[in-house]
Amino acid sequence: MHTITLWVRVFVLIVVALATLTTVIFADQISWSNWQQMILLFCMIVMASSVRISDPRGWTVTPSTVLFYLVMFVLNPPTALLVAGTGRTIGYAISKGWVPWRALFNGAQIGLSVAAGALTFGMLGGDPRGIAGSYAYAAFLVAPIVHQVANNFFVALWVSSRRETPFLITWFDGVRDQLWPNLLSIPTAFVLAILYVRLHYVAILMYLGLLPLQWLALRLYVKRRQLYAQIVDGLVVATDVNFPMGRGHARRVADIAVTIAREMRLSEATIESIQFAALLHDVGMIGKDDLLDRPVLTPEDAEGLRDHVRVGAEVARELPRREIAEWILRHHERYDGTGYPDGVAGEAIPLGARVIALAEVVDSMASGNFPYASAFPVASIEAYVAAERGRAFDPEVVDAFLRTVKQGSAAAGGVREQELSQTPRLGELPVR
Amino acid sequence: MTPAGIRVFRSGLILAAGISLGFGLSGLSESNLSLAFMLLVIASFGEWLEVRLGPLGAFTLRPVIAFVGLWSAGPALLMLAGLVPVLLVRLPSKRSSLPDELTRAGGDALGFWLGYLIYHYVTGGLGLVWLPVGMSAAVARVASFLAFWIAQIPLQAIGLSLTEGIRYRTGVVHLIWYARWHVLALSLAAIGLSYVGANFGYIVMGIAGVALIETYYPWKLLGEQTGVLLTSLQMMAQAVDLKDRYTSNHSQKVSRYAVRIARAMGLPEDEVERIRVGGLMHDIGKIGIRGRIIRKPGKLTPEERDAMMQHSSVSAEIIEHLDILGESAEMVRHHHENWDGSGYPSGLKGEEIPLGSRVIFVGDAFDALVTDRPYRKGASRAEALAVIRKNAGTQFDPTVVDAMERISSLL
Repeated sequence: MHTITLWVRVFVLIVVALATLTTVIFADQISWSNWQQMILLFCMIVMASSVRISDPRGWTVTPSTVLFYLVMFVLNPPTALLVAGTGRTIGYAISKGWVPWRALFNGAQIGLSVAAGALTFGMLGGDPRGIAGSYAYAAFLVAPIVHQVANNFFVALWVSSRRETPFLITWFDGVRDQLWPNLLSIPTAFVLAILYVRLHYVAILMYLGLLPLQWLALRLYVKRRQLYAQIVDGLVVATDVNFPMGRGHARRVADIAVTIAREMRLSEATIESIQFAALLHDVGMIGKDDLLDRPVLTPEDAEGLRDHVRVGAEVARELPRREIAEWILRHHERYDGTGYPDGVAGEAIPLGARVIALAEVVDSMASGNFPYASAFPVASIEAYVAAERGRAFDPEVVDAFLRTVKQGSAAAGGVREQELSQTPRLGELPVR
Repeated sequence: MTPAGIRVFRSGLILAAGISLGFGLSGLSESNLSLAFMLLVIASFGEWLEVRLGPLGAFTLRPVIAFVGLWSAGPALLMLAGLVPVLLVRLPSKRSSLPDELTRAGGDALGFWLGYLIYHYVTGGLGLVWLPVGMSAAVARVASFLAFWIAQIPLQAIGLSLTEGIRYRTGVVHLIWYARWHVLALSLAAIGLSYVGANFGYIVMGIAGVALIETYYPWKLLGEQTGVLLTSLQMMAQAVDLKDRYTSNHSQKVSRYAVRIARAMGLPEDEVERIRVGGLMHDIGKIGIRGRIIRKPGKLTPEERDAMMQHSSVSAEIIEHLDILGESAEMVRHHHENWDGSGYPSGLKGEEIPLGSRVIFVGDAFDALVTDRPYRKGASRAEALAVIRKNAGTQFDPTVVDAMERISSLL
């Protein structure tokens, strides 16, 4: 458990105090007469916040986001703050256990950002009653974005102070990563708001009927995805078993490659593909175990070993992401065009392959794997990689790698504890 | 069905698609143009959202939008929203041929006409006077939507029996069983959409359509991930086959033979799916055996034989803890048991051997016989079948061998 620094405590206190103060100051504007609606929305937010299924692709609508938007569209700002803030606090506490400062901070920041969204919505003339057939659609679009930017502002302040990452970049990355799924939540919230206002507020209970349907599919989906990861994992284990001197090699290469890719600020989808390709890069070595047993390699044997890139690519061709097979095929190409299988040079080698090529050499040197006889110290690996800049390796990848070494994170791998980084490492398979 | 019969059948469907499309286009007028455009856009999104049903079959949200078109503005929009997206979205994305897609559209068009007739009859002629007006409209809508769905089933089942060799009855039962909850949910959704359109305007209805499609999106994801899973299993199987370069794609072929045989035996599709996975995974345990033993052309020493004979148990152990793969573990474990009890690992006999194991065993033997080896050429299909027939009752289950002979042309 991390210790909570003084600055984080102060920050949490400020946010909670701000939310409380705003509620108290504007208490006379809270529409208590609509207490039934408030309770209904509150209960729905509690339920939606306490059931969490994360979609690793971040592509599906999250029920609690839909409800926050609904609250912004149908309640005035102080009421929205109260309902969303308290609902979120309780829901968060139910799903993650009651850690007061965490739950309160979460509720307070959601309350404040929902209030900001509701304020924007009102200023832009948004009104789900659709007077004279016009809905001021812009308000329905802008208010959620304001909510999200505010929400990411608080989260980024929190995250950047705990992980010591630069605040602005953290904020921007957060907005970028969540913008799309949040925009997708708008249509549902829009329809619910219209039903709420023009039909009857109880109509939004229909949404509760839809949720189990969605959750069922998502749950099965996440399970399938884990199974898929386990299969990839099984392949990694199988490669290890058949390539004994390199045990653990694939995982370390994947960790190093992912670290470099993060340093290069590649997209999460690319990073995930790099991780898979790095895990599977030597899968073509299966069945070549007797070649490695030989004390001296004849030229034909060496050719046979080099063939592992083609065989590996052939195996990975089955994967839905075509780039993975391509990267496996190219992970022994050199930047100056003297590598194999085809002697492709420079930018013609796909980026993923350039990252994996460097990661593989680094790990083989660091752990003294084939073809190196013994392990090298970090300083000499650094020197070697720097010397091969523009020769064996892409200069940009080399620079990124050297920066990660300076930060001391290259060996650790996967430094950012992100929900998105799902290293497929779910229990090893029994293989004899 | 004879090839000529199939041609006539297909031409008829294509004709139906053409006539219905023409009818839809002729029904366009200035007053319904914007509604038609919006329905087309949503229906195209709906077509993109393909949900796979269990092991086979699929549906999209396009018919839902099409029926909203019928209830809002009559049969012309039903045909337009129902058929145009097939050509607009499905044709480019599936890379199939125009006649294939027109055939498909024709099948849908027949269902749409049936749905329209029922809707027309119930709202107009029949009147359902004993029901309140709102209720009778709702009944008419549900009835028309269901009629469409039910009309699809025989057509799809015929298609499945032609392309996949699934028995017609198995196909029908399967399609009804896996679609039942979706059909219920979608008919409610369709009624909801038309209600929103009638009361809050068509733009709100369009946005509601988008919301509906998003709500269903996880189902599309699930179907895709299941497909990814299967390809990753094939990848795993291929990696194992690398151990022996002469058995390239052995596991995939065994899986395919076993599936064909299982369908010829009329097994339920769930079991067929387990057999498919089992066939892919049956040799996975070989991955830890040294390549030189697997590739050894001559006789194995007793230790080497022991190592080889462990592979079926090891395969089962590898997959038994892996979610749905575990359902195939038992049939993988026993895929070298002989019918007379002389096999391994447990020496099971006759009906004690899981049915899936017996099917996979036959497929495995067939592929081993027809594959070329460095030291001998593979047998012809007829020779291989003869060898398997000779060993039916001692090594193989005779009923499985019977089924295999029935479909020998498909192997």
